[in-house]
Amino acid sequence: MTAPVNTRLVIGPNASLTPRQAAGFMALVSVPGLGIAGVFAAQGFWPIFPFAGLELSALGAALWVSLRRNRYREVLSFEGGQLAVEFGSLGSGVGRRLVWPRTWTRAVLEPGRRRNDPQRLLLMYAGRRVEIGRCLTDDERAALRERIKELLRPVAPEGAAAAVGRGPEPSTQDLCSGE
Amino acid sequence: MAHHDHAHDDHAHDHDHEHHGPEKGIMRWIKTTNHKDLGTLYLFFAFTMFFIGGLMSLVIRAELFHPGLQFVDPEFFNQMTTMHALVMIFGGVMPAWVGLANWMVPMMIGCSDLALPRINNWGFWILPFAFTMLLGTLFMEGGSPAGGWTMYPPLVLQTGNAFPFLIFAVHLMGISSITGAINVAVTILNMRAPGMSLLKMPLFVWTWLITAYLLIAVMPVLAGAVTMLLTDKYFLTSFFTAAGGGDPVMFQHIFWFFGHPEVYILILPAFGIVSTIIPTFARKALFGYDSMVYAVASIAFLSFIVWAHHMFTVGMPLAGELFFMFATMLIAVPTGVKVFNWVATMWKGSMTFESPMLFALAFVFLFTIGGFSGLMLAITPVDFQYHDTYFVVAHFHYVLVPGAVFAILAGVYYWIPKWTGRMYSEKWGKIHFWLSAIFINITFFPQHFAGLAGMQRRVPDYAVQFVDWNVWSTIGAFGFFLAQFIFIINMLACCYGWFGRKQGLPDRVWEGAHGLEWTVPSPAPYHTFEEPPVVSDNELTAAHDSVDALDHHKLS
Repeated sequence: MTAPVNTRLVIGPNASLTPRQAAGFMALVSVPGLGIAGVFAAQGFWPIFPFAGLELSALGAALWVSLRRNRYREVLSFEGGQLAVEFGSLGSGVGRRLVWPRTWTRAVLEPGRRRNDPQRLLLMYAGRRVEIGRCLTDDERAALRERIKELLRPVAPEGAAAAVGRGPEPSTQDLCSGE
Repeated sequence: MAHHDHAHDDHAHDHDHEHHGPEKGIMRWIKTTNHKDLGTLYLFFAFTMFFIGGLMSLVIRAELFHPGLQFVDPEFFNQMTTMHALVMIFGGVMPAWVGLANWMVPMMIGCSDLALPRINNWGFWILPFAFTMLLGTLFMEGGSPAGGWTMYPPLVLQTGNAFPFLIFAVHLMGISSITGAINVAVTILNMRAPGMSLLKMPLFVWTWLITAYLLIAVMPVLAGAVTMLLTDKYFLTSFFTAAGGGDPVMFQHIFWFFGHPEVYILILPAFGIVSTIIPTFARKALFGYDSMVYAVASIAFLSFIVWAHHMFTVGMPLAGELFFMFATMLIAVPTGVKVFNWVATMWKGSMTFESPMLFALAFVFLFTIGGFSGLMLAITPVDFQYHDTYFVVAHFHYVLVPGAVFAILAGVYYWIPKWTGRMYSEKWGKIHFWLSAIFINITFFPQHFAGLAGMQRRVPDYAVQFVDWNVWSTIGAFGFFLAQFIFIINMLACCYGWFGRKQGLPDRVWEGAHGLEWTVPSPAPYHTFEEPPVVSDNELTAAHDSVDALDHHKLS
């Protein structure tokens, strides 16, 4: 039997804005916005200033929320007979890690819970299931499932688990710091 | 099973995605965070406001059909002119643009929804409350605001009980606009499909990004200005009260510092729509894409430095008059670039004249007329004569009705097959176009002559010499209003499948159309993108399994 392919899949939301670009945009908006408000305030018409501050704060918050979402990642590591699934954010480390036997894990695409819900891509093993690829589109999820299926195909027959006909106990390591 | 559910619920993710399909009944629309649902809500709201504002314009035109007082007293006439403007600008045109942005921007840039879906929901649902409050002032003691939509003090301070409601309604409209602008800007900046760089974005997306920038820049000025009006009336401040040392003319400066960019906020998305439609039906690429983007950006920049051309007659230093005159005339340059590019796009194209194209062509022609009359008004000594006459009314209505409103109609005709999966009736679309184009010119072209001859705006009576022009204007207004019912029925028939209209259109409804929105099915699925944007593997950032890509996305 051929050796298993060792690879990693990194799943993350599409993002077209870097923090640096976001800062540039904030500056592009804030300088004229606060400049205008400042000029009016200097003339005695100060009530424009708090509105400008509020609005720019709202814009900053919106950019921050959007950028925070950009950092979300799911990493699927296919190493030998194991599949490791990590959830986390860039800059914050791994929040949760699952290690499952590669050959006993299945990738299943389920319809959404309700009509018009997006499909769900689930990894299943020994009665446990975990959803991945929520930040993808339906077609991307379908393509990812096909790729995962290829990578999950049986490889080595000499595994103890295979000999007894069931997989080992699942291991879950919560690596989120501070918890 | 409990363990099973726990394992599922326990997994780590912090996304704020749409997890539910549409609710049934009214709750779908109240709770929705889906950009298509909210786009639909915005558009229905906008056309409702167009109807209400249109009825107000008919009151005005009916009264002006003949000299003397026919139907309403002068106070109510003034209420109608004020409310007509507020309803049409803040209730009609702006929500229509936000509705079109809601529908189209995510589809055009290849993302599934706007960046902040819940904020999007709140932004919309503020509007019905704001306009219920504003329209409710018609039934209050003292009537609704009657000092003009510009709310100049000290006149506006004479408003009765309606005054604080006016201010609160304006604040709510502003909040709604800001939430829409922030949402669209963040979406465009952060959620573009891989490979879609800024200079690959559709023009409609570009114009909306610049519109959002303008909104964010100037809305605090409006909010501050109306708040100062409120404190002047109720809290004994004297920002604009001459008796307390304030300066009422300063309100005009502040208002128009907001107001002139607001004019471009109303028209820039129209440029984007026309730049989308003309290449489709000319079957050619848009001529001068980059120059279009730079022209829009230039217009946006110039909009900040021309405000005082609205108030030449209040008196200002000669240097100021010259500066604002020349700065205003400068706007003709980027506008000319745009008109040239539209014409050049059509040059030797394989043109067909479906309803969206007819409205887009009418836009180019009639908006240019509005632009030329604007150029006349920019000339300070000429403006001294035209100021506050029907020439000004004709000018800005040419910009806003055959300009902004025709572009909205063109956009709806163009995209409704994508939204509903049903084609509108081309025959009735063309009838609607020709009636609209003829009646709108009958309405507003004579007003140029009435204004040049000296007829004052915002006055319910006039000298007998202006009768002929006003008779034509009134006939045109009623005709234009009635013609819009053809459009409404035609579009509702697409929405609800009236007259046996069946779904089954191809993805690319117009064979000359380009863009990601034409790669998804018709009607567009509740969650785009069913079909992901076509991008090369190197550009794909959503899912990688190459070592090179991993280097950029390692968890720390």
